[in-house]
Amino acid sequence: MPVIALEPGYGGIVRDRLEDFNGVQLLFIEWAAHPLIACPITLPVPPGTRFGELLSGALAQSVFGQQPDWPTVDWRRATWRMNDAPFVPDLDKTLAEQGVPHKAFLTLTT
Amino acid sequence: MTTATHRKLGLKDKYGLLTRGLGWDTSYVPMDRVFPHDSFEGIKIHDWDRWEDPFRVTMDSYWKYQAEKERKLYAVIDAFAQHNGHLNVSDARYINAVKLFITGITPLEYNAHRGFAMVGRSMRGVGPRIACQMQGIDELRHAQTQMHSMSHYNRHFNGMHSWPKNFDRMWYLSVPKSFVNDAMSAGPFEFLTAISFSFEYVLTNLLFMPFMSGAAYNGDMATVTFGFSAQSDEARHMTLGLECIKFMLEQDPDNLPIIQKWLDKWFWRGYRLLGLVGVMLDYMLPKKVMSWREGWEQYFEKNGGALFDDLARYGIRKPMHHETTVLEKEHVTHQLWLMLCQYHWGLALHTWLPSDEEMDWLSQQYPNTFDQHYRPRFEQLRALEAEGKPFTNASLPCLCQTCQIPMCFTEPGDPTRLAHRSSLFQDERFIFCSDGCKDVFDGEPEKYAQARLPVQQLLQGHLGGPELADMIRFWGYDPALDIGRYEGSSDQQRWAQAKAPGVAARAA
Repeated sequence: MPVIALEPGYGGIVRDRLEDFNGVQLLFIEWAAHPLIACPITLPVPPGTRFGELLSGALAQSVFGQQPDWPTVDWRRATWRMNDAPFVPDLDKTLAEQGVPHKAFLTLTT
Repeated sequence: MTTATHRKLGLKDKYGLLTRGLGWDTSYVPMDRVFPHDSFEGIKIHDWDRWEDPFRVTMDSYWKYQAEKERKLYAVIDAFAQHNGHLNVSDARYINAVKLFITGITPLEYNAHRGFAMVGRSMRGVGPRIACQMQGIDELRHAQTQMHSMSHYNRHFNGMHSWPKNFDRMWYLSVPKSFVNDAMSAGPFEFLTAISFSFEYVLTNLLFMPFMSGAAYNGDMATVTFGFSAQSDEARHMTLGLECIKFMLEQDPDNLPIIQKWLDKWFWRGYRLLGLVGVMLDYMLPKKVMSWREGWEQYFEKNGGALFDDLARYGIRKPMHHETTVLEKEHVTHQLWLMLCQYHWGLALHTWLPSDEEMDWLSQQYPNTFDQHYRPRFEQLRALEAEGKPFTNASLPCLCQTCQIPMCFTEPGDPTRLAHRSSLFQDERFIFCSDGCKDVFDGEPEKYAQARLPVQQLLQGHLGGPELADMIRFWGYDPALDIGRYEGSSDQQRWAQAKAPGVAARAA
């Protein structure tokens, strides 16, 4: 249903487009059913980041990596979902190469 | 020769002359050009004179009543300040409720004043115009009396010195700010439905009762007094809110679906906003008044249920997702407090983990959820704190595009899974905490797609920085005093000094 507005054609700018972030894209990442981390996190990463680098870099440095259970995660059994669809990441490919878009919502289940 | 006799006017005549008698239809310019805002929303009004003001308040009596209330209020505020009333509160942790009020609620009152002034100007009917004018002045008075009542606390505690700036800049204050900006940027009828009806009528008891009873239980006489002073206004606002809904519904059957859509939206937006009040009730008050669950059962399920039964004859049904609020009532406050505690580094409210006695009270109040889902987490967090490693989440949260709260809520009916929803609009993805917030967005994506989400603004370099301390200063706070956990805060130290043996004796 369209907005009810005084002026026809009302609209405005989206304030978190890819081009607003100086070369990085945002990822929203949830560690499913983690008892202490209260909500998904927002991570800024370059689209050229390989998925493996994401895990060993930005994610390892995030609140995820600071949890005592992080080093014990069995990555062969961990599963991912992206935007509510099953997703099998290729660790050697970049986010862009495997179609992980700006503002993708990723869910990690360990 | 005849002399004019001046008989005293009856209430009804006086009301007639001082309201409708003050209006006129324009002749040089068409009324539609003078009042261009009262038709674009699609609400059809055929007879503006059917608006009934149940209180029949006229401006002269309004000034008289309000002046009387002001005199009493300011006498109490003076006495409170002269007798160091702040030392009589239950504990300095209570001051967090005051901080939440002055930074999050008082600006809403001020913006409601602006909103009612705009709506009053927008309405061609004299009855609603006068009602909006008075409510606009009420809201300004509430904002002022709150500032004056709480200014005494500002002299003795941190985090209250720049609240208008905080309201514009502090990340979690974007929750109330976006709420009221949403209402003010809507048309006049939606504003009335949002503020007068959904907020003032359906939900206000969940705002005022907890704060005022909480203040009374915790020895805060200043807040109790402004609460009383505002209460008679609130009763009038509630009645006007109901009158306004009935007026619109009775004017034209085409109005019903528009109003229902607004009720669905504003009920949900108000509910999410009130989650912060729930946290205050369950976690911030050293002496508990009632739990969020009790409040929701009493004021929404019972009282709100009766209200919507009454409105059913107009074809109005209960707001969408009201069942979700019932499913969530034993969860939301715990989820919010767990989230706030781990973002203590970015909060100008001090946080602390509940004590054993507090957890026992929570178990009692939340028999179906607390011990099973939340007590173990608080115990784990307390163990970490005891080891000197308080749990900190230094990663920025993902915020809901609509309510702007970090996405800490779980699936209705499954408290082990965090909920998330998303929508695509103009090839952009937007994330939501709930079906309610997604529905609000999907109803008017052009509006909510523009939100300035604080996390995204921060990552674009628009919130001060690059250091955390720079950002805290940008928010309008002092990084050394205003932010962080209660343990070790300057509020805690000052309180301990003030309450140390000997100090009271010296003061006496």
